[in-house]
Amino acid sequence: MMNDKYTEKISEWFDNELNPDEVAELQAHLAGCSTCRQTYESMQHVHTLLLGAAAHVAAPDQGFVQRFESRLAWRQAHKPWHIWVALGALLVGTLLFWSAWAISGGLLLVNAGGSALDANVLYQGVMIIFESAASLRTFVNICLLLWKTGLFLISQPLIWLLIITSVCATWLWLRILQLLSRRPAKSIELTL
Amino acid sequence: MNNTLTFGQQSFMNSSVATKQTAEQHVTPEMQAQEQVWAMAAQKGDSAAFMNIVDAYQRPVYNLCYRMLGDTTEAEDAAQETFLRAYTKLKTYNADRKLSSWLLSIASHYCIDRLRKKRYQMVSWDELPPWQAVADKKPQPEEAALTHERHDTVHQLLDTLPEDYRAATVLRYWYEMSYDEIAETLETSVSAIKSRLFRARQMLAEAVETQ
Repeated sequence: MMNDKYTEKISEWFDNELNPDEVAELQAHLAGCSTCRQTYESMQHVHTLLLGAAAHVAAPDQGFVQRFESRLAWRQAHKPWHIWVALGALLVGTLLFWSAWAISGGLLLVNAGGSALDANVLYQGVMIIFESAASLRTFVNICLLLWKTGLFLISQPLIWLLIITSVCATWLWLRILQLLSRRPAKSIELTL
Repeated sequence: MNNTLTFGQQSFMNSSVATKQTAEQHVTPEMQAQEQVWAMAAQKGDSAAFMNIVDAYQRPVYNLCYRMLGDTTEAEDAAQETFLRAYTKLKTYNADRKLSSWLLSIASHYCIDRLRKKRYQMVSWDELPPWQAVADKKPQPEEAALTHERHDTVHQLLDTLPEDYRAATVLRYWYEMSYDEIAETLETSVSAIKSRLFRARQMLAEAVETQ
């Protein structure tokens, strides 16, 4: 019957973790226990195999440091927070853009022409977007709405601010796409 | 490690043990002092100093990754990732600790995590970073030397072990680390390491028998 106490000791013996007394005790046990001796022999076989394999130390291909430098530079240029900032800015910009659209539509509807943006105007502005989407069935109607909206926007400084913000958000989107599309190009550079 | 195990009429002394080179190069006090200088300079933002560290430790780190992952391409990627992580965690490096031990600890944990993830997912080639795709296209002399070894008995055997057991085995045989050193590297207790090595040998012996 295999004795776990001694089989564990066999493993420690291979690792030189036993003191001479423990080694003597283990050897005495092995002399009288065929099961533990069989365990010892099978572990010894594994031990020899591993020692033989450990004689070979694998090395990377030449240029490891240069490849690491390239990778580090790439990683530093593509820190994840850049993406999150860009996406956040894009989200805000997009919301502002549609807010501007809704507000301008509402102002057009009530023909306010001023800069007062109360809740009622905002509500009507939002509503006109949905109503327009449902009722505008022809390209001409869409163009007409855009034209009227454009004329109104020119006279509104607040709307200009919102448009600029939207343009910035669009630019950030393009920048993200540019960064993403550069990844395969980077691999080509590295092959040169 | 060169244990002379004499039992009955048999002598199990392995003559190759005494002459073999370990993966962890012998570090003289001068080299250790130099590494500490590099580490301190790197902590202050000197990237050239860090490149010296990469140059000095590329082989032991790569070897560990290769023994853990069993594939040259994956080993290259894991070794590079190890140094990237070391670079970002430089501020946390304690000069009282051996630099090699710190780097091997990062490499071990990274490889263990990678193997665990690998069990649940397959990585698409499209997801591989560009440098990895490049490495595949280049001629790899080391790969030619290791190709025959990839599917050899030892690799097949190591593949049968759980990640934690494999790490302990690799650190024990390829780096000749003591139980204390392995425990420090894998951030666990000595008794756990003792148990892992015992269980690993048992499992490997069973695997050999079934082959």
